[in-house]
Amino acid sequence: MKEITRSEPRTLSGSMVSSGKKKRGKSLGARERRFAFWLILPTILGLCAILLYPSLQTITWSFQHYILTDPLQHNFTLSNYTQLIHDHVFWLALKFTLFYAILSVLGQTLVGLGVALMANREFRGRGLFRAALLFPWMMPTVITAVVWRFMYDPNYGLFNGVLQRLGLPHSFVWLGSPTLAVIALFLVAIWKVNSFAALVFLAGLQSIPASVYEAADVDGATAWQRFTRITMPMLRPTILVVLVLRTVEALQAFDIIYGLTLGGPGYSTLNLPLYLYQQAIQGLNFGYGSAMGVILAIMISAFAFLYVKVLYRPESLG
Amino acid sequence: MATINLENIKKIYPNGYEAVHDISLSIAEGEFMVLVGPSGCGKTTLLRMVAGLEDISHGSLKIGEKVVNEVSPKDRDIAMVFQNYALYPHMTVAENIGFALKLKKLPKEEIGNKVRAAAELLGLTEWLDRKPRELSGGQRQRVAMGRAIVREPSVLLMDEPLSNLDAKLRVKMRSEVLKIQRQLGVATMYVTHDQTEAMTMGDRVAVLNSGNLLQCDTPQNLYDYPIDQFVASFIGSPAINLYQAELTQGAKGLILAGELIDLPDSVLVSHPILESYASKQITVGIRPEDLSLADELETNAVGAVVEIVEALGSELIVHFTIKANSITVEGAIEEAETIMESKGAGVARIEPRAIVKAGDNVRLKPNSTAFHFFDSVTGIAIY
Repeated sequence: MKEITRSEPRTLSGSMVSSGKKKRGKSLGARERRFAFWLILPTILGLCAILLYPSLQTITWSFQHYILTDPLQHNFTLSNYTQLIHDHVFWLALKFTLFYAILSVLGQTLVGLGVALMANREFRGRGLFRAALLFPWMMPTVITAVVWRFMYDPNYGLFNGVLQRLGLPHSFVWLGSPTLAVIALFLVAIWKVNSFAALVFLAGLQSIPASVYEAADVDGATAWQRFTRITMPMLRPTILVVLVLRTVEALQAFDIIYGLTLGGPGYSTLNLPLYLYQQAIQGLNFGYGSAMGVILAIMISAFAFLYVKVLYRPESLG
Repeated sequence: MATINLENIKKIYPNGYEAVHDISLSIAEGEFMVLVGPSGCGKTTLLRMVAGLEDISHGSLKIGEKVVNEVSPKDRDIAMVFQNYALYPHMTVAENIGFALKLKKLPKEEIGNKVRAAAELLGLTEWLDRKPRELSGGQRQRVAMGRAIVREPSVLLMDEPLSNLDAKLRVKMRSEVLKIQRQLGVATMYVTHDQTEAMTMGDRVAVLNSGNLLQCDTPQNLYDYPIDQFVASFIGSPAINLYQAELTQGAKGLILAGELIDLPDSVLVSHPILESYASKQITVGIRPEDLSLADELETNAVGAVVEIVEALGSELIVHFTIKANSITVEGAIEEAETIMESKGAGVARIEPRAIVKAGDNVRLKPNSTAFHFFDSVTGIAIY
């Protein structure tokens, strides 16, 4: 501002005035940028402390022989990774991680979509239904898992109790057989998370203008055609968001499995995060756990990248 | 092609609110029928009932010879242009236009040909591969039109299709829409709140207010023979001037703003009922073009104070006040049009070279043969 007041009395020519404006713009821009930098600095520092530093530390440890019960060796080594390649439990856990992520996300998405379509219709008590949708999602996962473990209990659990009252076979050891335990786990995972998917889908559905459906009605679309040709394509960006968020979370699932099966029976429900926890925290092998962490991070990034590549179409967002 | 027949149609919502009261209307093959009225008058509801997007609470709706009350929109053989166009955002222009044909499972080649023909008619050929969001408002409007006409429907319904366009484009599109409708030759129902659009486009215009059909006639007849004060006020821009006045004995003259204006015999011939209002209060309607500046001493004129003069080049719009009670009909005039709300306000269209400015005291001479008379209690026209 000072520069302008100085330059103005000298001349009123357009060029001077415009150069004055330019100067002011530049200094203002620079000042704003500096101010913006100070505003975001605390966030940058915070992110460095809680994200960047632990990530770098994990990568470093994954290349070191770092077991708390052994003397620390700083030398670079690939031994953690070579050990992983030969660890059959790691492969089992990896396989189950992928299996769990894909199937649970698929189940959550499909059930969530069905629930959202239902919640989007006009019916008596719709408000209550929508509010009730939130309950499974609001409950802490580990508590959900423990409550469901009670319900699965072969002696006093709800499921066998109901089967017994119905006069059906009722001696299932739900969490005791590998197949039943996997099914039981999926049931909890879908029950718990479909409501989140449903809420996001409901928001997506409500952003589709009613007039588009009316136009489709007039154009001769049946209910199924409206769903496949209007709803689904217009919901695509929302589906992408749900898939990415849920897959990333399902690949890291820990509390639900820890609370329900602890990875058992045997290794049948053991996934990578739980195996990582067992190795790093219970076994105190930080190097080995870190190597698994790095592999998990790469896997999650790959999934996110794949989804965006396949599903993201900017035009469908307009 | 088909006719549309509405018989005693009513719309009553579950909460008991009656949005459309007992409307009967028939639209001939190829006729362009405009439904016009202020917001909330029920015109869009009526159109949506014809489309099948709203249930009909009472009455019968025929498209052609068939009663379609219970027929779903897709089986009514109608096409509709929506106010916000309702284009499918994820489809290209070609896919939007061809969607209905695709649903009918027409061969791909035939769809392509029809879409191209429609696009050519609407000047959309070079935009066929674009998505709606890449188009301007006018182009989107054309796509919506294309989607409607490509199916060669029996009936074309349009819900304020031009209201989202700017004023200049709206004027251009008016004639284009009309041209396309003429080419198709289908019965058309066109909803608008803009009386200019109604007057310039409609073969006939149906004026609605508060869910009632007030009058349905050709634009000129609506203008010349409005059925009541509402229609008289709604049709015409600037709006008609309505004042309280008193008929003299024998209805040979009119006392307006304290001055006597003779009524020629021809007025009584064309308005025989007027005689029964002799010596009574009535409402007189004077169109702005039926007022002219008069000399100071001229009789059959009223004194007025000029408030605002708008020079349009081709004419002067003179806003004035006279010493009479002016009548405004609720909902008939858009607020923007009523520049002054003072008592006795009025508007005159005067020849452009007249020397008149705000604050002048002038005398205005009405063309008494063009007076409109209304019952001052019911607002119904007296003929």
